[in-house]
Amino acid sequence: MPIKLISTAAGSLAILLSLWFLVSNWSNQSLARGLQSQQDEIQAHQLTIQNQQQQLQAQQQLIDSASQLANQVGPSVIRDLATLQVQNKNQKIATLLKKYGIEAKSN
Amino acid sequence: MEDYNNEDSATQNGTPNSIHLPLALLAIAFAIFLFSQISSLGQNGRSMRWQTENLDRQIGSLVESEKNLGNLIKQREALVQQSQQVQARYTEMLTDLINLADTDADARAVVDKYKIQRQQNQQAAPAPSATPQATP
Repeated sequence: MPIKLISTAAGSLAILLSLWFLVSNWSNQSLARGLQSQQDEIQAHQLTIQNQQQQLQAQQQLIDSASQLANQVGPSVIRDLATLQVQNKNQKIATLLKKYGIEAKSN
Repeated sequence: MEDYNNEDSATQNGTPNSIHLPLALLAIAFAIFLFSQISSLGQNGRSMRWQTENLDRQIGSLVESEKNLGNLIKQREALVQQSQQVQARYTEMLTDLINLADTDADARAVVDKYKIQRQQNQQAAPAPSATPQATP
């Protein structure tokens, strides 16, 4: 009689645990799907950030290039042209400079 | 008939025990197995929940970075536009200078000094290595 009772109790426990196992399994599968979705989202954000960084880099290159041109090379070229125009009375260079609003005068 | 009854009573007394014992053992073993599996699933679940929280934080941080970078790009747009205009203006002037250098020696001298040349996309630009030297 006690063995019968133990057998029934153990069987019932096994059935309950089976149900619990199934529920836990479904819950974990749902969590795994959620994780996958989050990882996809992170990948998409990382891609966007990578694009933005490339865009920033391109902007910086353009700014640096223009800055170098406007602050270093450009003024030097214009100064040289102006000097040559004044020294040699070069009308072609004068016309070129005038086209860009620059007028060189001898001191 | 009496023999049969005796045999039947023996079955009633002996068989249940002989069936229930292995059944009980099997059920207990299966229950232990299931318990270990459930325990493992529970640990996995906790680990995944922890990962979810971390990923949530990571997503939040990425969204913030994305927003900041977007703002930075927008802030620089005016400067970029200005730089483009400056570059276009100088490119136009240097292109004219290169064209003039074909017929004018002074222009040629300046072009040579600064190693100004047309790039592949037909834009004039000084060589990157050119060191500008101001002439008084």
